[in-house]
Amino acid sequence: MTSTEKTERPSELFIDLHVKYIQSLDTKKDDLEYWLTEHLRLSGFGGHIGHDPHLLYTHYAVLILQIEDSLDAVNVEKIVEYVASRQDHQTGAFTGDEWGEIDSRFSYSAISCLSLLKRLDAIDVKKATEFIMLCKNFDGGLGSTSGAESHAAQIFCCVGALAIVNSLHLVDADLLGWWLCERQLKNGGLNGRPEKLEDVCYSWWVLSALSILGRVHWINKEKLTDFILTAQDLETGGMADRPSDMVDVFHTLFGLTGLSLLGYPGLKLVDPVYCLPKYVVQRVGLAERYHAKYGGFT
Amino acid sequence: MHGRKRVKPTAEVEKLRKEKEASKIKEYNGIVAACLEKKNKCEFDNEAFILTTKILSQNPDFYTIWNFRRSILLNEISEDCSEEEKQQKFSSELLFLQEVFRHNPKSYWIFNHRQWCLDTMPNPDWKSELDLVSKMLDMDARNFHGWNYRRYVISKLSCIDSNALNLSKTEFDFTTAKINQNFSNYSAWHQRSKLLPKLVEDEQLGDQGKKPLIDQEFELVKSAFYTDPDDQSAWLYHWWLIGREIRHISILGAYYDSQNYQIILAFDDEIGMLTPFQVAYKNDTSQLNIVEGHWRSVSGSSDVDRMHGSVWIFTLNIESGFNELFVTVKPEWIVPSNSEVKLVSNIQMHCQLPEQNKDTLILMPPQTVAENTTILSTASRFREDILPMTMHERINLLKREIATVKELQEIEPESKWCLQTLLILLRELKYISELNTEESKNIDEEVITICGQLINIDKMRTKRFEDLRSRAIFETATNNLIQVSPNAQQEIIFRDNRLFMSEKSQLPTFTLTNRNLTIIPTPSILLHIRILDLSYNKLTSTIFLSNLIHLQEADLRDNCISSINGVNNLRFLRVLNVQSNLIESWEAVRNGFVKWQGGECKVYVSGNSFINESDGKKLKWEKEMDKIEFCY
Repeated sequence: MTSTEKTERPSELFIDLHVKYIQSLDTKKDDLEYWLTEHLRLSGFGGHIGHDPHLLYTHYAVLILQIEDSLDAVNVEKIVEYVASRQDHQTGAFTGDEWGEIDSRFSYSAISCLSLLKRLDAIDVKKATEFIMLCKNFDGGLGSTSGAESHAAQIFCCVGALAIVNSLHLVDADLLGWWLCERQLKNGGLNGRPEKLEDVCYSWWVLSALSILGRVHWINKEKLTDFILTAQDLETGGMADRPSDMVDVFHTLFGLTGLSLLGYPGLKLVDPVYCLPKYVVQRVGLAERYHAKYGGFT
Repeated sequence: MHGRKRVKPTAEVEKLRKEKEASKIKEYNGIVAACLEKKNKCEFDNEAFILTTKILSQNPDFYTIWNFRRSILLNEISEDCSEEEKQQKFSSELLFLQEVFRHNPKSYWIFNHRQWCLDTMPNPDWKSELDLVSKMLDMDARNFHGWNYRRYVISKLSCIDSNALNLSKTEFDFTTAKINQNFSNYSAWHQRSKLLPKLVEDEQLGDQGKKPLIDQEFELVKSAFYTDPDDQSAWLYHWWLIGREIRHISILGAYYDSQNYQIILAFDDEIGMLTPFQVAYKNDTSQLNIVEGHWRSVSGSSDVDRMHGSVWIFTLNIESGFNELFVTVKPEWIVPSNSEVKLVSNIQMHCQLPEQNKDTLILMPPQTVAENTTILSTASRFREDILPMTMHERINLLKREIATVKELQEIEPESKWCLQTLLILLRELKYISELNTEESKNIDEEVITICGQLINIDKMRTKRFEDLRSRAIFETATNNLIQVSPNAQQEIIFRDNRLFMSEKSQLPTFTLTNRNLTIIPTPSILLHIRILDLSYNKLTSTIFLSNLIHLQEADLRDNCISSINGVNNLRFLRVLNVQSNLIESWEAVRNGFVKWQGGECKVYVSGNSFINESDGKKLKWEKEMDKIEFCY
């Protein structure tokens, strides 16, 4: 398809264009934006050379190492030690770094990271699970801490973590599945909380959780696919939060992983729990862990 | 980059921008380098502090710089620094944060740093923090950082304020104000769901005192959904206010198969097995002795799957010598399928074995063991957290709310939230009250009708309503397969002697065709069915068949099945009809029979797209599977 044929409302995925966009990200050193987002580019277990260690970046580093199949390049024992040291023994919660911020996102990062290293034994899984369950709300969803409002991104983290530790029975899949599928708006896009705007990143947060719960079919797949496709920038490549906004790599990732969960042709399958290609999760040997047909209709 | 409009600058504009940014980049990178150098050298001086101010004003997500700034502050207050000076330092830090927040109201790191300051400073002023966060929520009433911060401030205030009671009340009033400003503020409704139980507890209201408060709550939520019936916030809260009873898991039935030395046990939901159920016999001295053997569920093929399921088989290691058998199941031995269902009491099953085995299948009626019974009964109390009520009051409440919602639905016949709420209320009513078959059937019929309406109204979520409708249709259709036994447990009518018949005309049969079924919600109810006809529905999977261990013939024509699974262990299966489905490859058929345990079986496959695949493949697999005969 030539560029003149690309309409304002794209109806297909321009894979090559997005590949070029992502490749170009590291060549934009003359953009101020590049330097302000330096913390998002990884090398090591802080956000960048010279940045402090943080659980989030440690997790991301392990994800990348597993994709590249190069765990042998690092001292796994040290990573395990760092992640385990982030757990509060009393509450089971995880702190992001030594400064003590607590959030269920960190619980997911720790659990995903250690399970990818096959070292879940290094933490108190029972306590970690108890903390996550304190974040559960009346609507079946989960928040960042006890008392916090349900939010689709936190739900992905909590449900993903529960799936890894084989505790999906602690959520109410029918109720949570309902809340999640009500995130879809008339334009096909998904929001992250009731009565908020749609955003491409929720294509991942909401859909991954629905997928883990075996209920992706509860939303309208065609409409969501169309919405994600319209968020593509056909000149620069990449995807934005919603049509005609600025693209960024974050939304490009979640647009693509969302399309993968929707079964869009030409994409590798993504694993809804780890946000890694399925073939990587299979190579690591974790694929079967959460596939007990538990609670779901599948 | 949330919400930033895409601009397509001309080459000229782009060039100018880059030139302009070049100097900014140089300056910014210079400051960052200088700052990180100071950090590496552990120089916690004022110069470093100023550098962090410059960086964070531009880039508040640079967490390493926040960390360094905290180290500098800690270093300063550790030196000879009076309490007043400390207080002063942190006060100006809080002002700086307010300035940064103005431009970045959604940065985690800003709130993180603010909390650290308040936790570290000598005299934090929590009241002024509360005012500040109120202002934040005036600016953006849904900012979840703001609400999280508010909860943090309140938790601090309640530690120092002896008048904590009043705090629940003032916070509750704060949510009322927010809701009155805008009914669709879900953050405020959420907060209310946390505060209401607290308020009820703190004010130590008796049951009589609670009632006006809760009535008022129903009034508020009613006026909200009357104002905008399409806004989901109030509906979700309404649903919480009504609440829901935990559903109880039942054992549908059990029997001993004396020919195969097996005990078969069926639950009405999937469970996970934590501890093997106890199987025992009585010896001459009437003492219970454990019978050795092993449990597995009939579903799935992997070892993990075998520990989850709704139909369970115990195979005895020793083949004879018992007069009677006892099976015990305890709640702590199982994992329910989700958080809203549970097994509430110990259950025991028992059967006498005849001296001569003339019956191969012997029933083992389940009995609740009396001492820890908490079965739903008229004495049950509901919503203990906000307003405890009896069964009778509960039924009246549900009926009142059904009437309220129906009234609104007459004005707003297309409101999907009205209809969804009716679904919930009707199902709750059906579950808690001891309805006769007629009433129960009427509720099911109403649910089926409402689902049909919702399928037409809410095109985004058609499949969910189809699943819900399937459940109601299936429950109605299987009503006659279940009886409530005298010990209040539901039980399949295993007593039905058709189970033991071999005449085809009398074999247990279940037919439910042309009803748009998308799922079989409780396949264990069909455990004893031998002839199954579910043709002309919308089923997507055959996995549920694994529970129907007596199955001889299954007609699944004209469904939406894309592969065959769940049939490997169906020893008696002779006919499987999957004509006119969505099977696209030979693999999708063959993989279903790789570990085939049964005898000769005819599989009808015409009308599927894979039939057109090359004949060579087909012939090869036909030869491989000598017991399976494919029919076209």
